Amino acid sequence: MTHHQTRITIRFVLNGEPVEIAARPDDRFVDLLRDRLSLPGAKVGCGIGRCGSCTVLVDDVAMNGCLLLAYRLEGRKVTTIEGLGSLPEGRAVMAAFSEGNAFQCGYCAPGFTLAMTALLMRETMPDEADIREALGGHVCRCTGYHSILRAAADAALKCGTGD
Amino acid sequence: MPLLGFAALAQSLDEAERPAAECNFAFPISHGTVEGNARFLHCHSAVLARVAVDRVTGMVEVLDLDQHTAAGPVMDVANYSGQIEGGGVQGLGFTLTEDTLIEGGAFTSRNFDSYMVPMIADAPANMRVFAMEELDADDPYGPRGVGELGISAVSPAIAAAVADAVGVWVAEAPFSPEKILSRTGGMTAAVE
Repeated sequence: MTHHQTRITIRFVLNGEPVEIAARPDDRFVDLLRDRLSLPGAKVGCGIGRCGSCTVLVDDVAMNGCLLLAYRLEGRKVTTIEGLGSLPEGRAVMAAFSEGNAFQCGYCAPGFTLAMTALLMRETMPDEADIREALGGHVCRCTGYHSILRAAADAALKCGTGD
Repeated sequence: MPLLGFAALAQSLDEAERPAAECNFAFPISHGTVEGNARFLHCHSAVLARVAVDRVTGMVEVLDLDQHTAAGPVMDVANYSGQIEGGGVQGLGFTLTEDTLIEGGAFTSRNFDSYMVPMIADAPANMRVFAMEELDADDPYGPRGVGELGISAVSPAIAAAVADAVGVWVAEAPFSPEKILSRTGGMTAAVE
């Protein structure tokens, strides 16, 4: 990969805190998180936007951190899995996924959790088709997805009732 | 927030303070160590698949997957259903889309753009997991491990469902659309 040699200063809000970082414009955002900002929750699975394990929320929209270039972060609000507890939808999803034993090895868990949170932030009572669509970009090798579907439905219920 | 590797973590403790555990278990194997009925070592499963086959594209969709397992008493429902459901969809992938092609001694599929793992859209609409928990009175070993047991019988179940749907037995996984169409004749086939 050819990198721009010059670094630029990028300012954004990361999990509620203002961040200023010097980076190459085409640095992958997931590498900045993991290698420079000590936030290893976003994982690099495939590196090509297929597996969803590097997911972050950018202005409350789930995006692949491996496809997101550093210059795109300027002025944005980013939430990673480490900051999810600050969102009520995030807390509901984490509680439901944990109680429902949604995951096994856990490698895909940050991505599924953030994508489900983003869905609940834009859709108050999603049905199974909404959930399958919102989680459609995430690979899980362990579970067969049904434990995730059950827990996601429970998260929607928890969120809807303010539980 | 500094990150600490396992080696650094271990070195931060004196050797006497490091937690240690030791155990052993002589796992019975069927070759020579088992007197009598070797089936007590194994567990058994039966799988029922319902599929939809597109006669134009050759695509197979698994609609329902019912898995029945006889592995003795279930010790943890979440772990048990996780292994069986997870194995079910892994078996679905091995049967329909996952293939490791090798050319000149090297894998040609290097990533998820060419090695197609089932996604949530490919997970069956309905999956039911059953457990036959009774053991024979003279069973000497008790509950069996079910790790990945759910994979085993999925391919034959899907093969049987495809045969029932379009009348051809595909005997080599994955059941690609090309294999289905070459066997059914695709759009050139006579309508029954």
